[in-house]
Amino acid sequence: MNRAVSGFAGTDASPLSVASFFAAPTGVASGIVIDNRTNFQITTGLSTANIYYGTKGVAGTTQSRIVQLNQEF
Amino acid sequence: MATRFGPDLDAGVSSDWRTYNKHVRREQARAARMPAPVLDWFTSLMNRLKPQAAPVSNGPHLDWFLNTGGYGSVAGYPAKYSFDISSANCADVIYFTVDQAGSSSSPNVIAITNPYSTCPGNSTGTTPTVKWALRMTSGTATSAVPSLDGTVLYVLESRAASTILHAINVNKITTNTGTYNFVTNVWSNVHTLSTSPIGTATSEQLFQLTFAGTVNDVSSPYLDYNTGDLYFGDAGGKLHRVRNTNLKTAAESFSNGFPVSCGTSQLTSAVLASSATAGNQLVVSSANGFLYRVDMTTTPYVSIRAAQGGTGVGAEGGLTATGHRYHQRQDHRRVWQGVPRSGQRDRRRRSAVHRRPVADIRRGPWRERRVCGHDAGVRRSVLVDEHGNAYVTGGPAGGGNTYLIKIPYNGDFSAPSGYAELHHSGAATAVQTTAVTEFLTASSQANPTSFSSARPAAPIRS
Repeated sequence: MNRAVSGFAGTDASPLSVASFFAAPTGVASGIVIDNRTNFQITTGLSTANIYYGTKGVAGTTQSRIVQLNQEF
Repeated sequence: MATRFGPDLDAGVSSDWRTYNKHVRREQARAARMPAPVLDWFTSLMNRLKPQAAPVSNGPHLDWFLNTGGYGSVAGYPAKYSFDISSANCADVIYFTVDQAGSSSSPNVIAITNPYSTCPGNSTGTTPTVKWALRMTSGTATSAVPSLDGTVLYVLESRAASTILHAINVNKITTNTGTYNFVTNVWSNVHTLSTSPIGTATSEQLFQLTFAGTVNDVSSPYLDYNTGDLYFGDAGGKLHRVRNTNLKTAAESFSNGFPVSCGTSQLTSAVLASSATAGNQLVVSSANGFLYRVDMTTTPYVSIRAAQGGTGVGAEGGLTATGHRYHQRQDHRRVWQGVPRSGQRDRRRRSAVHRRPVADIRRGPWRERRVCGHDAGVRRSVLVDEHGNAYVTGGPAGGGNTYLIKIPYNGDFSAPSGYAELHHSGAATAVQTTAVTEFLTASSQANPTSFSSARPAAPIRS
């Protein structure tokens, strides 16, 4: 999962890095739904959004998952 | 579907609920970023007196997860029904579909509520409530879509030789709703969706329609909130229309040309474009590399094929080289170059990421090659921000990594003005990505509008 701040201006040969990222186990196949209504502070009390998605499963090994993350800025 | 830049300006914003909702959220985010009035001494004083928040860590944190009880992927978009557009509500429901057969321990439609910490039963944020977990015979890789009032969830069940449209009365499933153990991460007593009776006041389904011989595991249903019509495509290039979806008498339309043939290849999700420059055009892309539109203002309905990848003119419907063009933002023939293949089924999965409805309607020539540079092509759907920049994922001209590319747009696309290299955990350099999603926020950072995309880790690329 990658987060890129708008306004980036890297080039084809020298791209900028994304602002943050993390590896979701088995990978993400679904679309991403982001909810930035945060009057319910989530876990750490610093979140600015909830992110919902689902993961891929690996046959016989890893079950797929449905997930909620919270994102801080 | 309608923007505040480009040819149609504000004209189409209010013509579609989804677009209107998005613009309201953008306005709220923009307002939240506005600096406080200089003379608002009371607010300033209160801010000083309130406990200060801890330093921001700027990272994501896992709140909760639920295993699906099987190995089928969660491929569709989650469908979140919000009871308040500006304020989080514990009664909000998030629906997930799973592409796996249903059983007592593996649901294929899951409804989650109380998703936030401090909600009932979720004091620490790790144990949301399972509103219900359903088992249908087969699952789906497509997205579910709720009705405008949130009482009905439309789900396409993808069977081997047919497709079934379920209209689920989400508040009528109240017994044996399925149980998830957050300690063992195991499901039990998953609810079997009732098929009888249907259409009564207490039925679990408002209606259920079987499309015999129609195969589809890619095209999500598109619900037109203005008319109640629902559209989806199939593997044979047919675009289906279901009318009166708010009634138990809902039925597929077989009049005026429906189902409309749009080539003979798998269609992705349709979208009804209602901007000022192109009103009532049903737009759908095909695995054959073409984009099709159906002019919903003229009967009988026929498909009109657009130019393929910027060259040539289609014959179906007689679209000429001038005037409006409806361009496909992704060319399936090129999308997978550089990506390891593992058979048709997996390729179909990869194309399934296009399932979110996206319409690209504009004037002027298509400049896909100039935009992309490399034959990796423009992938996935395109996101356009409030400044008129389009964001796509694609490859660089000289390498194999996957980029997020910023392309200025103001009635026509300009050369890319920014590149960011995406991260992943695997060793390969060019991988599948999901669609780019906009992250509206009230952050005070200089560039608060952000985007998230996701990509699979190494084990599922091959």
